[in-house]
Amino acid sequence: MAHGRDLAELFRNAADGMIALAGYELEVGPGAVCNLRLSAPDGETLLVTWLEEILAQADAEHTLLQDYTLRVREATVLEVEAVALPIRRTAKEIKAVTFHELAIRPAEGGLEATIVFDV
Amino acid sequence: MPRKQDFVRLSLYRWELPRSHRIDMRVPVHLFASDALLESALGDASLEQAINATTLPGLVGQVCVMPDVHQGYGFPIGGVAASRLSDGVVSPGAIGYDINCGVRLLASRIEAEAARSHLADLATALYSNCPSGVGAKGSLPLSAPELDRVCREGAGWALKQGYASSEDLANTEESGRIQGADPAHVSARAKERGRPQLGSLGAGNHFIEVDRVDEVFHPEAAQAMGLLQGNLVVQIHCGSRGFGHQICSDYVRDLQPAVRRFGIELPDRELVCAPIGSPEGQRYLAAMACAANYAFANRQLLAHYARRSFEQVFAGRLRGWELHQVYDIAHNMGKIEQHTVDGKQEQVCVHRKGATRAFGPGFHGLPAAYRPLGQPVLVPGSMGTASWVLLGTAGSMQLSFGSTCHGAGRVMSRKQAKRSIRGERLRQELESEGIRIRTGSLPGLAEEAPQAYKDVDAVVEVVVGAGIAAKVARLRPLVVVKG
Repeated sequence: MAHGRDLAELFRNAADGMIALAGYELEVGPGAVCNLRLSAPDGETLLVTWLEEILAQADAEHTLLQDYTLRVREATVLEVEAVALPIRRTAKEIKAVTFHELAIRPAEGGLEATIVFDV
Repeated sequence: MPRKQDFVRLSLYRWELPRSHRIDMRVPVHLFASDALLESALGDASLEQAINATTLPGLVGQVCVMPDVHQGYGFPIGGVAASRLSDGVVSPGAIGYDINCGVRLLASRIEAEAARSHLADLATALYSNCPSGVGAKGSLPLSAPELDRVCREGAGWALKQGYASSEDLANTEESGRIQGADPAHVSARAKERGRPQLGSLGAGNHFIEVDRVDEVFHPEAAQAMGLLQGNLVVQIHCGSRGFGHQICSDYVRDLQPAVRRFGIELPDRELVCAPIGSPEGQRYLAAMACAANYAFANRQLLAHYARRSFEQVFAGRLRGWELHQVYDIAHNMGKIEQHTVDGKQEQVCVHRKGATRAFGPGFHGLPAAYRPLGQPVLVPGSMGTASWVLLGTAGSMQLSFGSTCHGAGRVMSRKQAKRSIRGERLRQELESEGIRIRTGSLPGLAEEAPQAYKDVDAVVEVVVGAGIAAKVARLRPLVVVKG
């Protein structure tokens, strides 16, 4: 379950939670600046697209997006400024971010979403 | 949530949840289970997920649920659903993220007793030769055109490269190649993930296991398969790695608008689907076939590495170390097959997620030696418990769209298992039982502990008792290699 005062914070917290679950260990050293623009037809799909992007970069490029600044535009576009750092080791494989029972709901203090990962 | 009293008992091991249970069900649910396994299945959301699956458009017959069922994402793991080609849908979520996850069985003529003093070396050789672990790369990075060839040719690509024999391909479901693969429908990201990973085991519940043939129940079938009581065999359990995960993720996400466009109402977005005949459905099937063929080639390469390991350890020491392929099966797949529906032959798309094709005697796609017997079915247990070799039956064709169980089935989530079982202690316990363990992750080992799974013997008793499989042999583990 991720919470946030707004979509950007919710997306950030969801990413932090997923990264903690996977247990990435990073190499020490400078990273590469990474700017992304992701779009989707609705907020839930945008959340899945964002989390999938982190997983796919980790698997394909062995880099982890960190220190991200997120801007959400009208719930369908996410702009990301981040640093991609090389991964030394991954403790746990996350195969996918699922849509299973996924919904972004209003909650006390903002928004919440339950995200189920295929591990 | 359904209750036990909602099910109608059709036979000792077969239960029906009728369509009338929920207003949006299009077909009933048929569950294969003993009383105890039914009660176990009621302990998680798997049967609710099976009910949700019955709402997919164009389904025929019933949604079948195997005794090793456990809760998945949208569609239960251990579920089978068949949809008409004319008005049915294909659902990536009903096939799963690890497209063509499956099992391969190789058999030697080495007696386990004679090999006992070499098993530690064999475990080390397998761990060293078979790349494993999260994000593991294979030893054969592919160029972009080469990956496209793997997508189109599957295990046939490995044959051309010298990593397979024609006997291996003959003893693989669909001869190791699903038709209709089109790499043009696979994303650049999936290809980027797939290129370095061919020939790797991965992590999670994937493994390579050396077993002893513990008991033979069907001598004629065991002989046809080259399984001799007391001899060493090898199981390889893995799938399409990050390539398949990305293809499924891409289509689960990209088909979401198609659901709205076709006016399909779903109780869970993970059941996302598209009409089989639609451009979206056809694109998914073409991409799924690419992942399926990648997985066949992947298990073929791992078989090559297993053979190399046997040669390194046993050549010049023991005879009969050559490994011949018994069979290779998929247990996460969508297939266009012909089945009897309402007394008529009809082509349907059979979704099997955590279920194994189990075609009965006479099926022309089987090698000649197996055709009179039925298709070999490989059912891995959990570390420390038995695995089973079964046969498909005429009953599976009548009752379950030619399908049966795929394993033991989880009873404990990975999180629960890790919390209650310590990896190092588990390794010591298994080693004390004579099972050599090689793993890159002790917490990962704990997640796959035998206590986290149902009793595979009880699962097998159900599928045999229900007539959707027949016993051939039971295997006992001696070496387990995990990522």
